[in-house]
Amino acid sequence: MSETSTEEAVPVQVQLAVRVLFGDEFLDRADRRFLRSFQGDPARWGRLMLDTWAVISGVVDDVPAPRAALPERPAPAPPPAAVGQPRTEPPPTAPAPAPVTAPPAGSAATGTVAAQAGAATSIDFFDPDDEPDEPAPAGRDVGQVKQRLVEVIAEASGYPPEVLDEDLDLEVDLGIDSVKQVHAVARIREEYGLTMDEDFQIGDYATIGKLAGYVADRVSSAG
Amino acid sequence: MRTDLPGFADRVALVTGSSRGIGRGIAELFGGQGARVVVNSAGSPVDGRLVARSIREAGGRAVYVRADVGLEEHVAELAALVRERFGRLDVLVHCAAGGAASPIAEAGYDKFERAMRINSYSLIALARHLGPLMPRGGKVLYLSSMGSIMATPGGYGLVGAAKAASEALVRSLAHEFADRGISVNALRTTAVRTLSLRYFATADAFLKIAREEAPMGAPPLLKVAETALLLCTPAADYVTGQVVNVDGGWLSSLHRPDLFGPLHRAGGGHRASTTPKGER
Repeated sequence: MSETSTEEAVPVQVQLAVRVLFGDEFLDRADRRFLRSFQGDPARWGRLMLDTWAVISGVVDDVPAPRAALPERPAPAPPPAAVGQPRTEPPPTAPAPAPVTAPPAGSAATGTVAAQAGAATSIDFFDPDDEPDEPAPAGRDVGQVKQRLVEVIAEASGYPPEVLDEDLDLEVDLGIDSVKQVHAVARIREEYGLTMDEDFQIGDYATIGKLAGYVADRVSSAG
Repeated sequence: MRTDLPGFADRVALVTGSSRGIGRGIAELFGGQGARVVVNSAGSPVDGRLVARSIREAGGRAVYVRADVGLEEHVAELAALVRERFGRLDVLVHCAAGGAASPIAEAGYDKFERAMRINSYSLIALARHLGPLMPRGGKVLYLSSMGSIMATPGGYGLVGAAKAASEALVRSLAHEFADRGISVNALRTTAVRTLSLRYFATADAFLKIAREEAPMGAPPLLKVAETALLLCTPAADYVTGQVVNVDGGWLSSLHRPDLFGPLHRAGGGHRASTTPKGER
């Protein structure tokens, strides 16, 4: 564990907040520069917290981000529709937002009841037995994984899929923050039936191409 | 997780709030014992599906239902689904919890209502809609917490009050269900190391107290889940209306070796360490 070095380098408030938001494992593995970068940038911190809350409460699953106008060329830019920003009505072309569901049980620390207002009217059911025995419907093909990753990341970021070139750096070139990246990876991981990888570091797979290679490797080694 | 306790094969068990935390541990243990488990949560559907899948991959049977047990209509739908799919419910373990952290004197009605609805009314709704599906020998177990009997830092007061209300509901429900042969109990535990502790800003302090002030130390998740299992087997048919503490002896003893000295020393070592190190 790198706890000692983390304690030396990162202010205790940031450590506490990260621990509350993500748990000990995340703090132990988090990049220290990433943690320090929140010092003195409350806006960034606020966005991260709101994004995280949206992810852990499942709101992101239900509310499609408004689509941004197609940029001529994706330049280093802030993400077009951060979940944490005040949510405006999506343009008429976007699908209507699904009902926002209640926050998860035990979300005391988030201290909000905002998502309670439009309670979902119906429950969801999932039976693992209904799934095909082959856990990876898209097979072991890197190309297919890549295509699915593009769809998921487009949905999470608001970028049109056609601008998501596999070699662009998700954070540096596209401004897609690590929380959205982690969320996209979690979704892909679930779709492909992959278990949690203790050694996985989102920073090691900065592009869609690298992520797809990683997922395809995991899928083929699992099968 | 597995134990050798008998009497669980093919029982239908609903564990609310089981996508994470203690509920997850209980769901996975029940699944490993041959129960048909209904995993449930209001949020975190990704985790919930993974729990159902992991039970299945371990050779058990499980489904996941995303439903908010704080909402009457969700509970009604959940009951309809259980009836349609399984025809009955043998075991109900209610672990779902939540609420807005707030000092009591600053809490508005909305926060109070929310805490009571999620932690307490949910038990009433579950009993009303799922109780009719329970045969003789059925078990209801409510997961309470130490907040029900002691003030706890971190704005836990509202949830604690709701847990206390639920413990009282457990006693009355046990009385009402007794002639149908259904036992109703609550399980109270200290801080248990799971990822859900991240919701408590004071998690480290809770863990430290649970570890150091209980003569046995803090109970690991498996032991809490096994106690839940025990209370839900026929072995515990005549245990009803109880609040069972799984706390390593914390509530029942004054265990401060830093003040009193080691346990095994005759006289408790009072003289040796009345003044803690570093004071005065």
